[in-house]
Amino acid sequence: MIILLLSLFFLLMFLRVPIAISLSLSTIMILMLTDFNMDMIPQRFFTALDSFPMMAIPGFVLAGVLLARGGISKYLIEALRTWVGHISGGLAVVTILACSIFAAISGSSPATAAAIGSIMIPAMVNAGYDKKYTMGLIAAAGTLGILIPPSIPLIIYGITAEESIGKLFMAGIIPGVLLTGVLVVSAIFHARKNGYGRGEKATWHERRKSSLKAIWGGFLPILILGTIYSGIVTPTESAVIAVFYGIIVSVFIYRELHWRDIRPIIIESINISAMIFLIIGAASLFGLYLTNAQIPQQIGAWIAESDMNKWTFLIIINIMFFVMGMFLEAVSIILITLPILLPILIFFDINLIHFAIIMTINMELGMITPPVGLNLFVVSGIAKEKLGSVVRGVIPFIFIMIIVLIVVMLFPQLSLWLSDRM
Amino acid sequence: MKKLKKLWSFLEDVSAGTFFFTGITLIFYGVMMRYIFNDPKAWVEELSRYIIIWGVFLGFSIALRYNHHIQVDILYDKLSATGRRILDYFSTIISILFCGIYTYYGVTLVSNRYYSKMLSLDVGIPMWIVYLILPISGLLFLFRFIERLIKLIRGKDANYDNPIT
Repeated sequence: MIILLLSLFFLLMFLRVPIAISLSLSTIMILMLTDFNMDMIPQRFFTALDSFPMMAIPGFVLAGVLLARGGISKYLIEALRTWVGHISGGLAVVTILACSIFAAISGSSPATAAAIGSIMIPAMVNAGYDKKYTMGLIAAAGTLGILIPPSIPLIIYGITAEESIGKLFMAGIIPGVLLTGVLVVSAIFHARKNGYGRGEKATWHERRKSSLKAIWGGFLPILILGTIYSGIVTPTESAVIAVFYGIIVSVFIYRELHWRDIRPIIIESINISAMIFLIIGAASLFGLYLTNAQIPQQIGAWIAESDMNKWTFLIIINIMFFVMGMFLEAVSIILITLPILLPILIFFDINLIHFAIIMTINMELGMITPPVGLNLFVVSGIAKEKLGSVVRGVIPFIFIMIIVLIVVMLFPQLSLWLSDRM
Repeated sequence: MKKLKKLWSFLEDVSAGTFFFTGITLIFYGVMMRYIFNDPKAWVEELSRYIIIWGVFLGFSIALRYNHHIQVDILYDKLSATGRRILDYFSTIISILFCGIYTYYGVTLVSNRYYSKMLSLDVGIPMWIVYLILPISGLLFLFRFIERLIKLIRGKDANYDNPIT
């Protein structure tokens, strides 16, 4: 039955039926064959989303869209440029750091790549950087969006695995900083090798002026993470605080937001949220089938019987995530696989917070591996280049990220140290 | 006809946008009351959840209009124009089928809840009203797919760009 369901799902998906509809319709078809109360189908779409932590998703989506339009990415990049623009590979470093800071406001990778890429792709190409390299860099650095908190996949992971979302957020910080550092080092080496020009060194006056301007936006990550870390507010509430802080900064300090911007900002946020919510509903319906058919227990029992050890299991899972990441996006992968994986993870005594970070880095890879990689689409859209040339640019970064993934996997302390202190 | 379409899109945007932003504002109001005025409002959580879900579900059809629902294009990109047309028909009809099922059982769910008189836990809103969003969002979604089908039959290009973000 499950094989039939999955074949039907992949068939519909490759025939270009939207992923959420492919998944729900194939599940509905199979459920119809069994004795099932069909009222539960639409109800499941509702109950899957009817939880307060889930509301953090539209909240952080709105905060991200608002701040990308409200000028924060522009001022952030400007300030970073005065500080590091003059070193070798300066603009590439600015791009990576800007993605990393924007990731601490936004919970989505494509949004991060779009906000920073729309400014930095033209800037880097004008400064003489190879276009393929530039596009690959933005696509890869943009994936930081889901590793550095807030993060939509980590919210969904937390709700599904019943882990504290705050702790999951904290767990992402050190691996996120590590990946940022590795990307920065690689960018400096790449620039030295290719002799990319340096920018002019900014004066202290310029640094002070641009930093003072950027500080209002730069305070936001501290506000979001600080309030969650101290446990004063829930992630959902912190998302909403970020929205209103963002409105105040964009309207009264940056003066970049006008009445006419409100409709596009809200509609874009609804678009993204609706896309995610529909997938969550569909995947939750699929999860209902899995539970009814006791699939997780069966697979768990099978693994317990075979003499697989923890590390072979982790390697197999990583390969599976990599392959799935080529075709599906993060939310569907987490919701389809996590219910099956949970009993196995507990069996192997793998820390669920550590595993969340392993999974998230895999999801980052999924965003930049063809044929379906949201960041590849975004970058090819902004740069107006074929998907193929973005892919060629991104390949070296895939290897870099696999290395970081292995390091994070081998050293659970990287993810657990900060989250244990919460 | 063109004016009607524009009005329809406007109504979709305004209704979804109003629910969405009201829900977000309500959560902010809850935070303010709790931390600044020390007067927590228990009903805020449930009500804001329902209102945001209404806003986002009304957005299913908007996201279709902007082509935000993710599809896999590998096979599609390799096909000839005729092949693509066949696939467009196929995926649109499959999606219409889904909307039909979703809406139909949404209606039965609402009518069951109407007769069972079930109320929500905190605020006590009748659940049939809360669940009304299921058939409504299903119908709006269905209309947009039918619009797409009509465009296909008329030979107009029903495709937009790849989804961004």
